[in-house]
Amino acid sequence: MSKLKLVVKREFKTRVQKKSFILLSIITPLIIAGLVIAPILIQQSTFKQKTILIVDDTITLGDIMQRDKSTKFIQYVNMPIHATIEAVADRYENSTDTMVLHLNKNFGIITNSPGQLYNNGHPGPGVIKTIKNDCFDLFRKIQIYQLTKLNLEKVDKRLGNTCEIQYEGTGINPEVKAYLSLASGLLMYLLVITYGVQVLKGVQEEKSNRIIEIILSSIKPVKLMWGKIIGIGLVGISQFTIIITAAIILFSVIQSFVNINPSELVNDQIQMMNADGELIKANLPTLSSEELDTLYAIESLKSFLPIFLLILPFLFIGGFLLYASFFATVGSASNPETEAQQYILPITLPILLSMVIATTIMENPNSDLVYWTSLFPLTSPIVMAARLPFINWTTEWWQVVTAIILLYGCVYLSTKFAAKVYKTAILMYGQKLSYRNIWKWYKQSN
Amino acid sequence: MAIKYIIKTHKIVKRYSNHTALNKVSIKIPKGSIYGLLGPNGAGKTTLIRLINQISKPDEGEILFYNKPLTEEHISKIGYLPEERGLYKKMKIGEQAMYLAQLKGMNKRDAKEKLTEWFDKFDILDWWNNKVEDLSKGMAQKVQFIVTVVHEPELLILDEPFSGFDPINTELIKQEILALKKKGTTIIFSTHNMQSVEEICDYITLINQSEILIDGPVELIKKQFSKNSFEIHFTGNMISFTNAMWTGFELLKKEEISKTEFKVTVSPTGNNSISELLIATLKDCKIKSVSESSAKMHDIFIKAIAKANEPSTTKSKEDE
Repeated sequence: MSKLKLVVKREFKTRVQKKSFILLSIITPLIIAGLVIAPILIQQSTFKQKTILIVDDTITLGDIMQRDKSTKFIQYVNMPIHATIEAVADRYENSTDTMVLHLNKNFGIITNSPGQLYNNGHPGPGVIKTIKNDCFDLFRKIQIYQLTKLNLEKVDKRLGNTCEIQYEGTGINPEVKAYLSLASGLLMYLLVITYGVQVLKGVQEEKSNRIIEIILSSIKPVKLMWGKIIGIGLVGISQFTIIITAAIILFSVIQSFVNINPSELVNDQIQMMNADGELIKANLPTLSSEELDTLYAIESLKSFLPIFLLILPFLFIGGFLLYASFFATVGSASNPETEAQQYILPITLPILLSMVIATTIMENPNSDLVYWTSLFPLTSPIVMAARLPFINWTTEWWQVVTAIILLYGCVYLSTKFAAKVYKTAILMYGQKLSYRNIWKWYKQSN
Repeated sequence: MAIKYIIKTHKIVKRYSNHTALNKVSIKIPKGSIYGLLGPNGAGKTTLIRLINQISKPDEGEILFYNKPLTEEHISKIGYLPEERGLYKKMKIGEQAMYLAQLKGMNKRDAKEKLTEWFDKFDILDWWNNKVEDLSKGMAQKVQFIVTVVHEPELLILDEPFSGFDPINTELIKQEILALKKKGTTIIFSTHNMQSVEEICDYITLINQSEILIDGPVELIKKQFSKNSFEIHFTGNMISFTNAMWTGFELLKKEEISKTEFKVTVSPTGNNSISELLIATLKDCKIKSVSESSAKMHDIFIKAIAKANEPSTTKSKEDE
């Protein structure tokens, strides 16, 4: 095995075997998947097989509710006309999935207040909201009919359930773009800063525990530096891959478990929107607008994923190499007993700044600041990553290419510089970390 | 038979931004010898060692390994134990030793086999899976020594190898060094411990202020530095002994063992011979032993450095 490979292997292995790596790889996908799934899961669990028994004093509305308002989550069952509220409530006293709704005889024509809801288990805000909405819809229809005498069934058919805006152009919902932008910016930020700092710590560790001289008698300093950077970079890529893959797998598992197929739902919605004349009544479970947004987001993500996964690693590798070389320079030039913090700040500043700019992309993706910082090599890894969802691939592709070329040009220079400083500085003890010394060591190895 | 040299340096110069660390240094290290590299702190020893290890490159001059320019392929033939040495604290020692042995070019199987042998020999095999932070300083030193020699280098460079060891382990390491010499390994030995230099070195080079001050076989150097002096062990009266010396001898050292027993070092002045003194003292003293005293490395070191620094001191005073 070549010496470079040996160093890469050691750097990789020691980090991957750490408890923190394993924990982070397990916990992060759980958090990501959880954030996406939790709202749907919570909603679904509260909607599961709820039966609402209606004791109807209005004589007519109970039947209408049973017929029109029942869904797979809420089943309205109108009780026989002779059933009294006391008898029904007593009978279902101990049932948690069954509730009893007593419709007031004045409900509909005189008052908008339906009556009492009897239940033993906690029904959840979703159930209450749905029942309220269903009752209010009935009330509204009755009131409209009284005022206009229109055929409400026809009106309903015409109106449909909701309205949708069709987004033209790139095919991705702007809201989804915004989330993706924030997510990719944040991911880049975390990867660059986490693994960049690991390079700094790794270099400092070898220098401070004095193993460096033993190692340098076996391998050239530049190879050692590259071995470290590559090894740690691979740890970053592995973690990135594990997190994304695990999140996708976990998401699919939960998705199949809760039995929602987003693409089907979205397609249904689209078909419904495209139909001419009378719109087909959507045969869908009642989903809140938040749920629909999530489903759209998932669908859009699928179409965006290939280009995203193709460009993002380029930006990550470039960004990581750029900052890793800065961190390696400071690490090799610092001494265990001296404080390197003030020299780390100028390196982390562009990273922090990039993240701040990345958060503005959601609101204003076409600002001058975003444009220039997405091309400037010190900020492009994060800003361009956050800008990716907004890129128009037919007219703006060259900007991505330019950013990558500039980034890698800068990486070439910065790694060369780092290698030269590292070579001399790593064996210097007792000398102060200063920009002057860093420059001196760079000149010395020329 | 002509001496075979494993390392030859030819007028090597190494400069750092504002000072010259080595100035036209030429040494020849005979194969199979133990070669002491001596000098005060900052003289340039570590720089010379780093150049031989190819950690840095000379600005001028060349280094030859068996008469061929030193290249990367020679790295596996050299073992280096630096003075300031450490290990990865959080890594298991076995894994770490394997890593360092492989970096020296050993394959995995050989590394495992040889390391197991050495760990067993030094009684630390049970610690294979422990982390360095669990080890005592002495144990860590043993691991460092092992990883320096495990790849059976032809040239071993040891910089203060005994520091951090208790007397028992010092002896253990010393015996290992001598055993390696017996097997034909050449050893460059850099230390401030002059007693160990006398005990084990065949040749020395004394470096001072980036330049070579003295070099050659230890015995020859000692002879050059020994003043014509003798150590006399006697019982009797010290005053009578001093009277006998009178003006023909100089008393260099006096050690009072008891009121009537003394050990003295004397040096004849002019053409006087030691036998004259002995005859003169026989009346009042009983001579127990007489031996020619040779110079100690410690004294040679101090005298040589002091002498070398003298002219420059005078010069700088003149400059002022």
